[in-house]
Amino acid sequence: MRRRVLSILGAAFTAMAVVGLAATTASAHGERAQEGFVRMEAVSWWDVQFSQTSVKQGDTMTITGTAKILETWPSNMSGGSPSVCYFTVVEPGARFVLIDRQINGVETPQSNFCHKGGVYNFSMTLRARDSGQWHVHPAVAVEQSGTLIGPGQWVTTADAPGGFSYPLQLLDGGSIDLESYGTWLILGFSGLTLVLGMWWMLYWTVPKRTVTRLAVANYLPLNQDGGEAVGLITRKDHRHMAIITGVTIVILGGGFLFQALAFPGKLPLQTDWITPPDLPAVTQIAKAEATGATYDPGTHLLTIDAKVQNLSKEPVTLAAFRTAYLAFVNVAAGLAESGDYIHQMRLSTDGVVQPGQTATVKLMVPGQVLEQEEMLPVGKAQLQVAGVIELSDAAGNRNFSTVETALNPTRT
Amino acid sequence: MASSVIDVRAGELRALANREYRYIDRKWDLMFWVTAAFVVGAAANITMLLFAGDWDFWTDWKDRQWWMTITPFATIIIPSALQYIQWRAWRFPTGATYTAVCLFLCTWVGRLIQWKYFINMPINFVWSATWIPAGILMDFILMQTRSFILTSLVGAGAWTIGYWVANYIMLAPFLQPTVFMGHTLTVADVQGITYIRAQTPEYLRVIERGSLRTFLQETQYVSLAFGTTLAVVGYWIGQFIGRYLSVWPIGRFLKQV
Amino acid sequence: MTQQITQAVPERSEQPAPYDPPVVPGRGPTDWRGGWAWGIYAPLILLGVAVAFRIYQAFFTFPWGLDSSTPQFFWLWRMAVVVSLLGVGIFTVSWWGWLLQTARTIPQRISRREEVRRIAVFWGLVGATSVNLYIEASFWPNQDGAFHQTLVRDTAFTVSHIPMFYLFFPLGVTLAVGTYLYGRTRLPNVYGAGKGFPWSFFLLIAATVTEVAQVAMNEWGHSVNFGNAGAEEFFSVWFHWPFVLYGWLAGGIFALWGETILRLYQIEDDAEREETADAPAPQTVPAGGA
Repeated sequence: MRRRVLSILGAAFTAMAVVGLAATTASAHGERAQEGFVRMEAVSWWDVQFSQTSVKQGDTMTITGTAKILETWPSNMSGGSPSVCYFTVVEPGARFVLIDRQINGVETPQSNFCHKGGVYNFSMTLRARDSGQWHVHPAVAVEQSGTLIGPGQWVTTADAPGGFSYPLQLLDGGSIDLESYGTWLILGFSGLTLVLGMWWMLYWTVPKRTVTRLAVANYLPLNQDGGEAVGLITRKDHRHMAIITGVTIVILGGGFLFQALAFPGKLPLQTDWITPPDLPAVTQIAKAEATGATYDPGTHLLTIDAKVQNLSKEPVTLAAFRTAYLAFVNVAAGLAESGDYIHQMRLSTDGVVQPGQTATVKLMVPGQVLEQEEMLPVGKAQLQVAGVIELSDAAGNRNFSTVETALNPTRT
Repeated sequence: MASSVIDVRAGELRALANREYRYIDRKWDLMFWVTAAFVVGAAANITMLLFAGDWDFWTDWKDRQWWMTITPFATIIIPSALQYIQWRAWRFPTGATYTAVCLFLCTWVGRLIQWKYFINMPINFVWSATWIPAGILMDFILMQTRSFILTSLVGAGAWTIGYWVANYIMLAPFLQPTVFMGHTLTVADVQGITYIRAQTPEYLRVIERGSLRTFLQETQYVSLAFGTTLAVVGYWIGQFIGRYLSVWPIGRFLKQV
Repeated sequence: MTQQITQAVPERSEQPAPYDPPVVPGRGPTDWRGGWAWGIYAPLILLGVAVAFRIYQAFFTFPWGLDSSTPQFFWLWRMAVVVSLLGVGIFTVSWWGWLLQTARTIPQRISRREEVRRIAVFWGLVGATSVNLYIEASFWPNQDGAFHQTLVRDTAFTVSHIPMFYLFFPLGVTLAVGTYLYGRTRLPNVYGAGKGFPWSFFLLIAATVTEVAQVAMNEWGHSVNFGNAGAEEFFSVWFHWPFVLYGWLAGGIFALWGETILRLYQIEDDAEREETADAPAPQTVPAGGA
């Protein structure tokens, strides 16, 4: 009877989980709790690609893309001046291992220096470690601000025969498996110390009574144990404890000598922070600014008023509005972007600005998307909208103008 | 005359120590040691976790400067309290070792069940340190000196050195150099980079990042010395806990609440 | 070691004989299935609940515990907060209520055997409190440090916070106060109302209560973004330290063992005095030294 109840409960939970999984194509890792203004004003992501989303244990997968630390970086984060960044991956546990990271083409093993306005092309190569379905995001952690998450994807890792191993070459030429290296020493030596500790404890607690000793201890001055006469601690006890202590010291000394001989050439922990080179200057074809934004909760429409100035000799198209990890692409421009974080927006015009012209364009952004992401700051402490307007031309030049404007809801 | 008075006294105490009781059998001892192990391990673990936990969680935090400055202080507190309690109550020189064994069991249960089998961090990255050799040394010093002042001075030194030597032995393989992403790093640094921690960016490590003055590579020993002096302070915090929070309240009552 | 005490012959014939529980083999005052039974059952039940919750987490954390804005999170995890708090609340009211109600009906004059049994039960409750302190201050905090490496914290009700802060932390208060109620009503010689409020329990109960209060400061600290204190997952961050300081107050638990051991000595001395009361005065054996 009990088993039947448990199996029904288990089936019910599993059913809920399966239904829930099917209903949600994208999954977050906590970014929705970050304030909307944080996500919009701090970092913008674009061109994030996963080289593959179905792998076996041991296979590699590369995440590439661009993250920009916006000029609108909030003044109450990192004192308004981000300076140390760490490009990383948010995934639930050590399901993947990071084996390569390049920022603006340079190998970046650890943290890198960064600044407001900095544009960082990243490439992170991972190897699949645990089988399962994992939601993986690129992310950038900024010192004194926390981690800002980029667009993620579900990645499925299948079992591989032989499982996962991690060969690593040491500088002296030796080869190790990082997964298990040194484990024997850790478990063995730790276990040895447990034996010593239990030896010490059992010597006192097994043959000697405990609770009844309080009656005697109450009569003794604190710095006396009564000696052999009272018999609480005898010469035999002293001898035995000296033996255990001696064995402990010998093990410590012997162990220290062992590590000095077995592992010569040790280094202290390293700090190796990179200043990534600036990207080559991009041909400036146009620039955009936002002059106002309104939000109608009834129609869920966010309207951003933008001014686009064409600085080139060819027509320029307002291709997309990108904010945090979301992108709203201009339907009329016919861009072939797709993905969980790519949505469509309409413009008041076709979005094309002729050479030398300045045009006013209204961006009609679907507010439901922003509401679902909890990114619309209506009711929050800062009523602003920020992001990046992407402008492109037929030759493939792309400019990204950071924009920020006050948000006026029609009602709150 | 005086010696026979002491002899009589010692004899009475000896008889009291060997007294046969009707109701107090060995089960009381067993229940005390086993049930106390949980609260002792918990107190030692929470003190270690929230004062010095990050250095104990990861190999790539166990540096020459901060690890040995902070951890001995944080972890000597509860063993010191237990030394007082167990010496005062039973004249057992076991407080530090008992605490270290309980802490060992608590941390390893935690590392295996939570760090390894929940989020699958490899155990050679998130292994727990051992405090047991340090505890044995400190208990031996208490037994020999029967003095808490001497134990706080010599014992804190033994605690710090014993802790460092025991755990440096296990850390040594991970300080070997390797080339990763074209840079020379230690194996521990590589573990920190490659096993992704969503919320421990590398810059968060509070470790030695190089300084103007390294005293001709004596950084480690300076940290050990300073760690020892902080451990003396920690020892007396533990004595306060043992004396005033654990023993003083016995038989004392508040008349008005 | 345990001997039966014959019923005391009432010297004052107006008073009823002190209550002495019936002799059941194997269920005596200090037998494992007698006075010590709850000292085994209660810790096992607590550990069982912790393990059960850990198994629940194994099934429902990845991926449904990672994003607090999903409906799955609401049903699987926010509801777990409700179930935990309700469960602790119901248990608290039931147990404390039972202790106080039955206090009026249990025998007030008891034999030494019965008092020893009650002290053994008391030690069982202290042991349960000790095990709960381990679960709340070691078992779950270890998971907390690990789990927060798998996501960006987005709610106070994370998967690892729920059993820690909203189940075992309040349960610690229940157990500490309940143990006091047991001592006050069942061990009047040690914790009777007339003596006042024991400092030992004051400290132990204060530890559990302040730990619960500290949860609020912890969540406040994590939600505030000054410096890196709130947003970065540094386990040794300053607003975690009060958890440690309040935990030290639990040192009062040792005084509970001390106080009851001293009472056991008194019981032993009383029994010995009564037995030798009519016997000739023993010869003083000269102290022969070591």
